[in-house]
Amino acid sequence: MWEWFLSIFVNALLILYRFLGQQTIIAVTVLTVIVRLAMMPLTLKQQRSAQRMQELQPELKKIQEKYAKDREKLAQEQMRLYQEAGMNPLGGCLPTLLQFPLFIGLLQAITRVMASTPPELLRLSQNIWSFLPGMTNLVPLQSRFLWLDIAQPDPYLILPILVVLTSWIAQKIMTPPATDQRSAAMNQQMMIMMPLMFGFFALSYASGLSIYFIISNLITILQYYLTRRDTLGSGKGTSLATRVKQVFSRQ
Amino acid sequence: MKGYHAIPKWLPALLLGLFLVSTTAGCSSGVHATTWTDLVVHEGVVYAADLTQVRALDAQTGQPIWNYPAEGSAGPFYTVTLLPGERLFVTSQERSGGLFTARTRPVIRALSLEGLETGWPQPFTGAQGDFVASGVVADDILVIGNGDGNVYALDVTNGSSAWPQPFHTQGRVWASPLILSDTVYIASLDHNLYALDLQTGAERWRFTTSGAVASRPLALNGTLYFGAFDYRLYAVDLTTHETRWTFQGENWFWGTPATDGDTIYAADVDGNIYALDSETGLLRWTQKVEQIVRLGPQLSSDGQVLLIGGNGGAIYALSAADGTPLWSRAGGGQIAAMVVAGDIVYVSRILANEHVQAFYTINGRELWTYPQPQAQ
Repeated sequence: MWEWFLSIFVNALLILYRFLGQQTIIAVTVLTVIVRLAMMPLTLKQQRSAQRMQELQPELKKIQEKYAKDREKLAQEQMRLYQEAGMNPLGGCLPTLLQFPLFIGLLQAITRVMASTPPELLRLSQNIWSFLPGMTNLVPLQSRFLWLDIAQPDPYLILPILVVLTSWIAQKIMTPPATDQRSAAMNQQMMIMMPLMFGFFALSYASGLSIYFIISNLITILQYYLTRRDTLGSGKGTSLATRVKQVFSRQ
Repeated sequence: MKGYHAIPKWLPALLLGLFLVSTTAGCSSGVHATTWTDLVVHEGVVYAADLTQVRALDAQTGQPIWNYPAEGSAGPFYTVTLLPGERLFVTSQERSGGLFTARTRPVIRALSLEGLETGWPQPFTGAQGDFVASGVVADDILVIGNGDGNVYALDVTNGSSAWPQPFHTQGRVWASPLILSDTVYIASLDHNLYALDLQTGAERWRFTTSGAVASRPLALNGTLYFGAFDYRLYAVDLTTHETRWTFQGENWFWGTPATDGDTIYAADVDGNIYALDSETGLLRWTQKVEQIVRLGPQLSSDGQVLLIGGNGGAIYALSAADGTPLWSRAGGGQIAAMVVAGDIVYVSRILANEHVQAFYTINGRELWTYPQPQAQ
């Protein structure tokens, strides 16, 4: 079942590769954009939910202080608050979980079509749909682009650095301001750990994955800017540059 | 209960990270094989590249004769090329650098048949990619393809380059060469089968297919037989360089075909086994096995049994006459290499506890396993 699901991404990548000048990097970029656009409704829902949750924070804090010694009552009051606000407290997490299969499918498909080793290439033979004419003749995909062999990690570390940088910015803007010290410490920790983890992936695996991470992070940043403008009612005076400055000034 | 905060914001990201690690890197321990291991059998000795060591095993008992390195581990070692009676050439992918700067470099070493490094002033480290398939020696020249797209020719006596420069192709070279007289035939994933001058590496001619070619060609009666990733098996006339016939399979042809002098036996990666008339390419029989098949089939020495190594670890024996299944043996990991010598079939495995095994071709009965189960 998963292999079948994966095959959709693999063949989509091959089709894009075929019709976009046989450039793997372009095919990966375009498919990443398509998948992120397809996930846009879920992402927006997640962002709106997070924002509304943030708006409820003062009320939640009051309740937490009021019922600090009665956990049962605290839970009841929190649920009541959510109900009155018309919110599902899991509304921010469920869209994220639903996006997982798409993310993983896309990542695995990129790794598979890169097929830098013989066993990986052999696995690819099971994913190409034979009813699509000429697809199998595209294998192995052209992996050279500028200085890169995108089936291999970037030897000059340019992509890993970009992955860390864009991951950090995306993480930073997507993390709402903490309401207590514990959350702030955790946010701070994640702000360091997550970009480093993605950077480690970028150092260890095919550069195609780095391309995916960078494009995906850039879309997250752009999407955040656009939705913030939308939810704030107007974008007047809130340029992307201003937002980026705000992000950095929150340090 | 803390409502929304019961599921921390970072949890999905952490789960994603863990999932990525497990799906892209695998959760296996030990040496992470990037390709399959190889073995050769000669005069009662099995020489096997066994990832961490190269081993010489007694072909009758499986008892170790020597290991290289004698103590500890190196490599991973992937291929072995034998110069009968003289030397063994082993390839490995050796790691250097730290966690963030780790790089691997391909190395070719010359070993004596006693397992000692010998002859060459230093190992050959001039290639950039993986050595996936073993080389071939002729006229004291070792010819071997590499994942960097080059075909290298080395003087077997000292490891120096035998050609003015390596022969470059536009794709990875993951196939063993075939040397006939003074010509090297070697395939590349750039869709070509090349014919090169053995002494100089100059291209004599090439045959272009629609798909990548990863197998060593088989020569029979003035014809080269080889499969490609365009689902076709090709018969190419060695004199005219024209196609004599093609046969369409159901998926890629990866392994080298086998022959009894009249019939060509080939397997596609979907596990379809084909027996074809070598003159006309007409199908004589077909059979399907359950696993992906990357290796070419092997015929028993009496030509009666066709042996198939599955990528899921099973060995299948079919009647060479009509494809009737004779026996099969399940096994662990993947069959990495399979060689028939006498009435025994020797296999090496990766991702399995059994690294090298020997079975009787007639009935599949196990002769020995290395390492022996109690020694694991």
